[in-house]
Amino acid sequence: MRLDLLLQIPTWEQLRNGPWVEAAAAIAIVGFVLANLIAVYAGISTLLERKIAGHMQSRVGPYQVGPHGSLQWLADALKLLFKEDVIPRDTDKLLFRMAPYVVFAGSFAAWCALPFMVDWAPAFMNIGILYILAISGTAVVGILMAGWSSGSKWSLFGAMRSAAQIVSYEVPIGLVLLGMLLMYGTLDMNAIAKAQTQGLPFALNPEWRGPWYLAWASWGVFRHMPFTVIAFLVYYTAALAETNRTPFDIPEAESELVAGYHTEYSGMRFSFFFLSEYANMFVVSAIATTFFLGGPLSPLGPVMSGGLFDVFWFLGKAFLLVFVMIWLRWTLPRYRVDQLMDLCWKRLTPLGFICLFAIGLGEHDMRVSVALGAVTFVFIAVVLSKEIFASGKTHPPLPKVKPEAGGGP
Amino acid sequence: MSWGEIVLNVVFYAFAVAGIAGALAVAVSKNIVRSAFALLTVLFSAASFYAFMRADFIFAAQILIYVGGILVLIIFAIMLTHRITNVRLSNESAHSWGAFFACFCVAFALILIVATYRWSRVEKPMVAVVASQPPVRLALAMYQADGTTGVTRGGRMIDGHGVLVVDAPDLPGRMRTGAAARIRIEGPQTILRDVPFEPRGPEGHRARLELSGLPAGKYRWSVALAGEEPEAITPEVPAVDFVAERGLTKAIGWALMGRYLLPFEAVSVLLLAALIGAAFLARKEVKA
Repeated sequence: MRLDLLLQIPTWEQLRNGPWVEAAAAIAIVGFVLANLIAVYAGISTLLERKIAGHMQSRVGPYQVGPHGSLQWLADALKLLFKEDVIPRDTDKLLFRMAPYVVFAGSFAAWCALPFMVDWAPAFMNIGILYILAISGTAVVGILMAGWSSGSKWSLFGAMRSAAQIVSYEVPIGLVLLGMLLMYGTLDMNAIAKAQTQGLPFALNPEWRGPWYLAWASWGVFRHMPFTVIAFLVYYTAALAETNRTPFDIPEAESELVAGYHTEYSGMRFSFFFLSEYANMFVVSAIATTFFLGGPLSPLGPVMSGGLFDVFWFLGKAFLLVFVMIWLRWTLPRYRVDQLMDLCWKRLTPLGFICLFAIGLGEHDMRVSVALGAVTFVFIAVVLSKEIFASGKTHPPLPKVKPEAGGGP
Repeated sequence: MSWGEIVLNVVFYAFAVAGIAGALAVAVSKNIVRSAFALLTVLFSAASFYAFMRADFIFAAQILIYVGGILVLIIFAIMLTHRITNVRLSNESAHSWGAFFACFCVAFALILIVATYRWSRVEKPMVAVVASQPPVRLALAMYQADGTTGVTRGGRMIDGHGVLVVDAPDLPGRMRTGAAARIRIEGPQTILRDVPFEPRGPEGHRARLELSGLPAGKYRWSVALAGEEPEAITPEVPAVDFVAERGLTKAIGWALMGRYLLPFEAVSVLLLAALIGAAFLARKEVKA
């Protein structure tokens, strides 16, 4: 199959006028490739997750299937396929069967607007990022569906926690992305990636195209330092919470809720939740890549760019962020519910507002950008040095939690 | 009807049927939680209709706000209510005559509106390449008189009022000063007028001709560049949808931040007040 056929995905206009058979076939192929890409990527990610966990804890991880256990994910997939699909008695049968697909559809649909190449995405959309945020937000409904229809307390609590967490953390994500959109002036993911081919940090010279070894300096994350860097960190933290990953995995906290909203699921239905979790991890990493790290652009400018190199850079950067997510999971302990909401509303949201404001000012006038950046750098340096040189610092006391009458289970 | 249109129609009717089925499920289901989840189908099919009408921003906003926000809130409220599934629901109980009357009134009003409204077919703006040196692209579109923001566009004039708009996204430098569009309107009343181009920022140049009080009838319009020798008349070319290419998001942004800034801000202040009021009501009373 020729690859360039894939690259000429027709618009609706061409579909209406042109040879619709080819257009429909191209769309079907792209959908097929994406669906399989997600399945294979999720499988390999589970293996990586277990391997990384093993090595971080001085174990070897899965070792039996294939060399060094490298085919373990295929064995897992086969096992999940052939497992009995258990549906407990107290479930709402229809909603219970439907929920995994609603969750997965939300994550899957977001993939088609990701800019895998500089000038190509599975679906060209002028509202790209808005579409991704909207469509991946529908997974919340599926999670609530799963939690309620399971007819189990663990599932219900897990679903409630998950929905509350996702809805809350959409606020800082929205604010931070809004700030970055002030710089790009478009919602189109491909246009956002392309806007990072030129421009100096601090908006000093928006037309600048430096030498090839400085091409990475045009990336969004360096545009209004340190605010864009803060925005990146805020986005990444909130994205961790959006995907229910540790340290924000309280919806699935094993010690409290067994497995959260998918406690009652088994076999293939369970694996759909699994797929959508990993698909979501990739989507949020891909958004971070596109907004902050130049998307499919090569860090070396024209060197190693174009065609499949674009795909390589895009997947490489996104996978790096996914890897950091896995890394954090085996490094950090879990937050409590109150700490989680505290972090979202009292820390990340104000930071998001500050970033939005500062980036807006900086885009308006480059002198303001430089001055604000310098002041903030000094401020951060002072705070950090105080933290480092302060001795005998005591931790703040934990908030007093009133024990429930009668006690929990 | 081409095969492509048939495919689009099939997709459209699939969404329409799903929407109606979902709405019926919301209304008839005995289980209120299932009703709430059936609302998902309704909201999604409404969003798909926006997409069919090329209202891309409204499409995304519909999903983002209604599915991601309001529906989740509704489900939350239902799930947090104690023993919600044991409640006798109102749609089983007595008020059937009142409900029937209300439904009848709403249906009557809707049918009346559908039957009496003058539906304007949305037509694509005609894009033509003028054979001058270098070639110039011109897009001719007819806006309704009430569609001043450019969000709505209709091909047919209503009551002889309308705005003819000629967009030139890439007017070459030597033509920028003093260039004019020669608009020719043929029909019961024939109009030939040169309208100067005005710059409109990064989107090139635009010439506007406001029409009013034209006698009823069928009109045709064409556009050329005035003063170019030889006079360049737009040939028939396959139409390209200009508005769909640019999208409506920008137009909505301009409208909200420009002409409708005050109402927009007033609404947001109202929402803020509602938010503070809700937080105040939900707050626990702390006795000193």
